[in-house]
Amino acid sequence: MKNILTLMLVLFIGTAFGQEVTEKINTHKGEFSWGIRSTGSMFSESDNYFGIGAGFQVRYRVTDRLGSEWFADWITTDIGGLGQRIDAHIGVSAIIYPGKNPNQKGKFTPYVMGGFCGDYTKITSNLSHNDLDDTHTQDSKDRWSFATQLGLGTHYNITETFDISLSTQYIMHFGADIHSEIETNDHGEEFLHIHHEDGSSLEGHWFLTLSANIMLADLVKKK
Amino acid sequence: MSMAQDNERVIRKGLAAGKGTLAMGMPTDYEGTNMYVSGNLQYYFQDNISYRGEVWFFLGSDGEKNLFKQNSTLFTNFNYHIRTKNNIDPYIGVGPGFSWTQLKEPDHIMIVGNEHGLSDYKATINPVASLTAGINYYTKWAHLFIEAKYVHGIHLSDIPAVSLNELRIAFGFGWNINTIKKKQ
Repeated sequence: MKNILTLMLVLFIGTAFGQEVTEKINTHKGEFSWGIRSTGSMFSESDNYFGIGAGFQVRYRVTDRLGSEWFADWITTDIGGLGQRIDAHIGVSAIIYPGKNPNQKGKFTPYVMGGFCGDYTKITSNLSHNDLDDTHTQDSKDRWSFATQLGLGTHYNITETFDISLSTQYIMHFGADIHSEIETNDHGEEFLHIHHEDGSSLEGHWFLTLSANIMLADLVKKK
Repeated sequence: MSMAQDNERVIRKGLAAGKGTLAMGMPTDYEGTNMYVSGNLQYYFQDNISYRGEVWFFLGSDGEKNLFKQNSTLFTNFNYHIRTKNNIDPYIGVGPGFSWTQLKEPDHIMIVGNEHGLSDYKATINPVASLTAGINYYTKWAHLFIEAKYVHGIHLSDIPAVSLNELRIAFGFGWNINTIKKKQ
């Protein structure tokens, strides 16, 4: 009995691991892509100033209907000519394709996406007059935080393996509060007042991303 | 044989190209002309898709409103090449980049205000976005090109931001080689 069980186990393992993993040739499962991206920041807690960013992403397609996008961005925003905000994001989003036959050449493939990321934010004021000590000073505050994001997008496949993608994501930061306000000093000059409070707060952020992506490898053997 | 080689269409997957040239840039938010040494390396992943890395090294500015001491940029681009029946290769491209920028210290015109005298005018790295359109004309080993690139970004430091928006023009010749033999 013991020998029969051992034989069955060996056969089972042999069958399981000896089986060649193959997929139909028309599936996108296993595709690994490299992309470059430009990201526009539409608004944040530092008001409705447009920021511009650069970054890259890699994608891995888990199934035809499910993909993942691993990204990094560096975004800078001019705050009314009085200061600047830097946002750095590294994160991952899951992509779900609700439509049939995704990634067809010459066609749009809409998707919904959501995920999380780690963030670094730094707000720096430009030099401005400080009423307290009658000097020109510059202030700077930063924080690390985590965020979760949700968005919509679409690929446009120029070829079967190259696409241009446009997506928009709403990002919710969880971390210390950091924001800025434009105030006026005793000389009547506007300056950027930066607020930073420890503890937890929520901050909304909205991005628009244009990317170009090429499939570099297909990691699942297909028949 | 030589004529046949010259007439062969070389624009296809596996084509690697490189070029270097002098180039100019025209800021769109103020008058002036910037000068660059520009170079790039490009590889065709598909017959009509190429990927390239670019460097634009800032030489200086022409004209009175020469704001920048430094304005050099690294770009990475994907280009889509419109298929033709010959070796003329029109293309459009998109890609992000990072500019290493530094303002000149005052006595220039556009910047006024007390805080500017106190700035240390440090160099900063600023992300930019770009759109490119151009035409290559290939032979087996070399090609001519002309291209225009619109760059969008801002220089940030400790004084008010300055636009990096600019239309850059480059032309000249480059070298190329097919790394994958054409299937017979």
